[in-house]
Amino acid sequence: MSDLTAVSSARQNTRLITSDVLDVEDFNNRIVGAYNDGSAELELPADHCTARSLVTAGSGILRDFSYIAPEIPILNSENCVGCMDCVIECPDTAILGKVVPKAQLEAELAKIEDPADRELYAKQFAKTTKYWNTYEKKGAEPGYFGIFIDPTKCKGCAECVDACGNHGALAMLKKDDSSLKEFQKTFNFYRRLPETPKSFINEKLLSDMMLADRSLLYVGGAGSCMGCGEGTAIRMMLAATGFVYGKDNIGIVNSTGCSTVYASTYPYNPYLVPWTNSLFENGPADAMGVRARWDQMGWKGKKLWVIGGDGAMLDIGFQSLSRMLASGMDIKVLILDTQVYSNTGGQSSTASFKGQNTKFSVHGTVVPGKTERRKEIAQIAMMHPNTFVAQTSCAMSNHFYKSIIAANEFDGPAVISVYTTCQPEHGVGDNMAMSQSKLAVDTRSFPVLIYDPRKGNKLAERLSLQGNPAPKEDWYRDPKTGEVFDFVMFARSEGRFAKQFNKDGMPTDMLLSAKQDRLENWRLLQELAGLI
Amino acid sequence: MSHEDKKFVYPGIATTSDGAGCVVWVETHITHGACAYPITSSTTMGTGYQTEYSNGKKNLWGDMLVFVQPESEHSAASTCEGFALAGGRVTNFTSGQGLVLMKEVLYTISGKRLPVVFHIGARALTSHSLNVHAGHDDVMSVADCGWGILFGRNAQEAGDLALIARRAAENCETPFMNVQDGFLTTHTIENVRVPELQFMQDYVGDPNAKLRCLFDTRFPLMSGVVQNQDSYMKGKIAQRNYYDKVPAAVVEAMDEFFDNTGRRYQLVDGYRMEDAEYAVVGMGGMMETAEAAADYMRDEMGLKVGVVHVTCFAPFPAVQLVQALKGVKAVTVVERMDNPLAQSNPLVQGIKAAFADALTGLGYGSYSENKYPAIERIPKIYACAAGLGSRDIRGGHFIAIVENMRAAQPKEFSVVGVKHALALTDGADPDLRPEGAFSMRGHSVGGFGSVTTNKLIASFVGELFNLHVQAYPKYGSEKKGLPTTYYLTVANAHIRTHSELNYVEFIPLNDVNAFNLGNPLDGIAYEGSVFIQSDRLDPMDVWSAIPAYGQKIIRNKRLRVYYLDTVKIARDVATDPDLLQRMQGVVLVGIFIKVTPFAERSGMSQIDILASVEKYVRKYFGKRGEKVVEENLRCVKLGLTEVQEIPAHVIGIAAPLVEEFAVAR
Repeated sequence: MSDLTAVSSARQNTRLITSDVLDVEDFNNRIVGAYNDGSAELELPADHCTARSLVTAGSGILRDFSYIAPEIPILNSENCVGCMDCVIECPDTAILGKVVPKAQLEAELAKIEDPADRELYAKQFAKTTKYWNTYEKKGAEPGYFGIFIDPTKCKGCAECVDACGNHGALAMLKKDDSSLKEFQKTFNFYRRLPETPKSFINEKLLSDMMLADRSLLYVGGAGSCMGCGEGTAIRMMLAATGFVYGKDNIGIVNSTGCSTVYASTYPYNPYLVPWTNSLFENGPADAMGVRARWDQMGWKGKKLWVIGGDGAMLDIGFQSLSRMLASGMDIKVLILDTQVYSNTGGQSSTASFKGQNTKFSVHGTVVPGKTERRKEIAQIAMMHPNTFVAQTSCAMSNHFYKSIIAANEFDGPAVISVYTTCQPEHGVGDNMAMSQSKLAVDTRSFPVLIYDPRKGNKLAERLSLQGNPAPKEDWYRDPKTGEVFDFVMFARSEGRFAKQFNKDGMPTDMLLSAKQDRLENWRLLQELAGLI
Repeated sequence: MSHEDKKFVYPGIATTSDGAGCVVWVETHITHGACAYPITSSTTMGTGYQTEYSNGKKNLWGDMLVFVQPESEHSAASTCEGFALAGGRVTNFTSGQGLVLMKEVLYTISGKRLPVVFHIGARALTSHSLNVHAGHDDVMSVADCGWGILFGRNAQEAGDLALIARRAAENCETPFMNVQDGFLTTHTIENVRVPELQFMQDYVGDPNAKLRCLFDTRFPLMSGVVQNQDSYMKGKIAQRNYYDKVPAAVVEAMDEFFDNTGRRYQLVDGYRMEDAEYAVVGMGGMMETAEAAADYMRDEMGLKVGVVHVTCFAPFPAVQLVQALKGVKAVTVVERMDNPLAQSNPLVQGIKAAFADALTGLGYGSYSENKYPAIERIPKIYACAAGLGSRDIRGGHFIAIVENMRAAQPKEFSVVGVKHALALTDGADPDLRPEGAFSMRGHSVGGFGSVTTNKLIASFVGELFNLHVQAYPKYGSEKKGLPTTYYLTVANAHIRTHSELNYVEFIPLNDVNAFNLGNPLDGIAYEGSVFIQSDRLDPMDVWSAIPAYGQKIIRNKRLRVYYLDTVKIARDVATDPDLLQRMQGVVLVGIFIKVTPFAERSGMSQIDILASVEKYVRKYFGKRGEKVVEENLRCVKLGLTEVQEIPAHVIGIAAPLVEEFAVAR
C-alpha cells in the first residue's frame, strides 16, 4: 500500500467507525463518566454503545483506584539509583520514571509558585550515577531521574518496594486525604513534563525501555488483583514490543481468562493498542484470521500477539495453538502460566504442579492434591516446525525482554511462556509476585529457557538454559549457606503446598515425587541443551 | 422464480454446475478470503475456493484471495471472526458436526456484528449413528445464534442466494448462512446461470471501501469485552436495533437482485397457492419435488394443492407465512429433521406461533410493527418428517402427505419413506419428470470413474445440446470398490424432482456383478437401452451371461442391449497406473453419444460432437495434464466407435408374445 493510499484508508476507516459505531469523546465522557460517578448501571440506556460494546483505547486511565488500598509507596529519592525495577515490576502502571535534563527541570520547578509544592516535586528527583554523574563526566547535560506514583492506579501491593529491595528508596505509607492530594499533584506535575529525551535512553539497556512513552501501552485501570503477576508480564511484553516497533504496529488477541476479565470489563480498557477477545479456546485461531487479513492489507511487519493463560493454551485451546504454530504465521503467543485456572477460582490445569492443593485436585484424606505430572508447553512448542520458544520470568527482566525482542524479530510463530504468580491461588503475599517467580526458576520448578531455531542445526545449539543458576547441576546450592534450592524449598514457601508437610515440617512422599518430577524435567532440558 | 432474459441487464451466464460450484463462483469473485475446514458435504466448496487461491486468483477488486485451513471448524469460524474483525470480507463452508462445533463462535461473530456469509451443505447430525447426507438438524441447532438463514432448492438458488446473503448481511451488519442440501444440491449438476462479474461487483460493492476494520492499529479499539449486571443485558437488548433492520435488508437485496437478473426471490415462495385447499410447506430441494407433485395432484387427481417454500428461515417470515397459508383447509409442514421433545419441529413451531399471534390480534417484530392479516380461523397444521440423512423423498410421498390431510383421521405427526407406526402409506409414485425426459441410471463400482463421467455427460449434454440436465450420484460413505449408482436426467425444461430415479430410459451396467445385486433393470422404460460391460466378443456369449430374469425383462420391454469391454480399452489406453481402473468410466461418454437420441436430434455429426466433447474432457481432466486429456478423449472415441449391440435375433424379440407386450406397456 502506498503512503497516500494508507492515509486515505486510515481516514476512511476512522470515518466508518466514528460515523455510527463509536464516538470516542462521547464514550470517554458519557459512558466512562457514568461508571466513574456510579450512575451507569441505572442511568445508561441500552443503546448503540452497549449493542457493540466497543471500548476506546486506554479508557482505563480514567479509572480511580485511590480508595481501595490503605497504603501507597513513597519515594526516598536519596536512595534511588534509577534502576527502573519498580517501574518495570508494577502490574498496574502506577509507578513511572522520567529523566529530565537539568536546566529543563530547574526551569519547570521555577515556574511553580507555591514553594511547598516546588519542594514536593523536587523531592521526587534524584541525582543518580546513571543519569547524572555519567553524563556530567562526559561533558553532557546531566538529567534528574524522577519516580512518580499515580494514586489512581496504585492498588497498594508493595511489589515496587520489594523490587527496590536493598536500595531502600521506596516504602509504604499510610494514605490519608492530604497525602493523596499531594500524590495527585505530584503525578500531575509528572504528566506535564516532556517525555524522557532519547539521549537518556540507552537503547542497549533494556531496563530503560519504560522511560519511553512508546513502551507504555498498558495504562493501568485494570481490575486485576493487587500485585498480580500477569499484569507485569503483559506490560513488559508491550514495552519491549512498543519500544522497538512503536504503538501503531501492535495488536492483541486475548483468549478468555483472568487477563480478559480484569483488562476488559466494560468500560475500562488499559490497552492503547487494538485488542479483541473471542472465546476461551480460540485465541490463536482468531489471530490467524487477523494476521491473514493484515498481511493481505500489506501490514506484514505489524506485531500480533496472542495472550492467554495455561488453561487457554495448554488445555482447551491447545489444539488451536498447535495449529497456529504449524502455520508458520508471524504470530507471537504470551502464555501467562499461573499453573491453575485463576479466573474460575483456582481449579487445576495440566500446568499445575504435582502435589499442588487446588480445586478439582483438592488435597483430601485419600487423594493428596494433584497426582499427575505437569505438562510442559515449552518443550511441546519446540517440536513444532520453526517455532521460537522461550520460558521466562518477569523477575528476570533482562531474560524476559530479550525473549520478547527475539520473538518479535523471529520471522514466524513464537511462544513465550511466563511464570506468573497468582497470589490468591498460590497462597503467597501480595508483594511476592517477583520473588516467587524468581524462586520458581532457582528451584527448577519453572526453569527459564530460550529456544531459537536460528541458532544452529542442532537442538543443543538452539536451546539455551542461560539464566538458570548452576545450569550443569541438578539443584542450585547457595555457595554461602549451602542451602539447596530444590522443589521442596519452593513448596515450603507457598500455601498451595502446605499440606505436603507434616507437623515436623517434613515433606510427604507426594511432595518428594513432585520434586522428582521437577528434577526429571530439568534433566530433560539439560540433555536437550547439551549440558549433560 | 421467473425468468425473462430480455428485460434484464444481467440474466446470468448459462453453464452447468452443481450447487457447490455456484457458491465457489460467487465467493471467489467477491470475497477477500475463506477460512474453512473440510467436512462432507461442504468440502467441494472449500476445495473449489482453495484451488482458485492456489492459482493466484484475485477478487473483482484486485485483492489476492486468502485461504486459511485451521484444525477444526471451531477454529475455522474463529479465524473468520479475526479476518472479518480486521475488515476482511470472508466466507466459510461447513456441514453437520462442523456447524455444531462452531456454534459457540457463531454467537461472537453476530455479537460483534461481523457481516460474514457461511455456506452450509446441510447435513444430518450424528446421533444414534453417523450420516453424511442431507438433513436440516445441523442448521436448526444453530438457528438461535443471531444469523440470517437462507435456504436454496437447487444449484441456481445456492449461487444466487450467496450474493443476496452477502448484500443483506453487509447492509444490516448481520452474518448470514446460505444453506443448500448436502449432496442433493451441493453435488447435483444442473443448468445454471451464474452471475456476471460486473453485476457481482456492483451488487455487493467494494469491500475495501465498505467494511470497517475494527482491529486497526491506527484507531485502536477493544472488542469482545466482559460485562456484568450493569451492562450485559443492555447490550443484548440493544442488539435488536440491528436485528430490526434485517428483514428489510433481505427484501431489499432480493428486490435489487430481481431488478437486475430477472430471478425473483422472496422470503416465502408460494406455488399455486392462490386457490389452494391443501398446502405443503418446507425448505430445501424437496420442495421442488413437491411442486411437481402438486401439479400432478391438480392435473390428475383434481386436488387443489399448493406449495410454500421458506427461502428465508431467519428472520422468520411469520407474516408472509400466515398470508400464504391462511386460506387453506390444512397444511403439512415437512422437515428434514426430528426433535421429538420439542412442542413441534422448528418450522412447524414458527408457523403455529405465527397463527396464534395472528388469531389473537398480536403483531410481529420488536415493536409489533408488522401486522398479520386478520384471520378468524387457523388451518390444521400437521407435521411430517422426511428425507432424514438423504432418505429418498419422492413425488409419491407428497401425494401421501396430501391424502393424509384429506383422510377422516389424519396422522397429526407423520413420517414418509420408512416403515413405522407413524409412516404414511405409500400410494402411487408417478413419473413427475418433465414431459419427454430421458433418464440414465448407471450401476457401477467406486473407483471406475463413473461419477465424474456422469458429470461430464451432464455438462456437455446441458451446454452443447442446450437441454436441461440433472446429474448426481448416490453417494455412500464407503470408498473404492463398492457398488455405486449414478443418475442423469435430460429434459427440455428444468427438472424439479430431486429423487432417486425409478423411471429410466438408459441403464449402463459398468458393474459386471450388477445382476446379482438386486434387479438393475428396475423401472426401465419400454424400448429403453442397456449397456453391459463385458469382456466377451460374441454377442451370444454376452447374452447368455445375463441371468434369465434379466433376459425376460429385456425381451418383454424390447430393450436394446449394447456391450463393450471398457476395462480393456482403459487398460490399453491409460499409461498412468492409477488410471487403469478409472479410465473405464469415461468410455461411457462415447457409448452415450452412440446409443442415446441426443446426438441425432442435435443434427450434429458424431465427429463434430466428439470435437466438442473435448472442452468438457478438459473441464474435468485438464488439471491432470495434456496426456490424461488425450487418453480420455481416445477412450471416448473408442466408446463411440467400438460399442456393439446384441442383435435382436440373439435376444429373440423378433416375434414377441402379444400378451407379454401388453403387460410391458
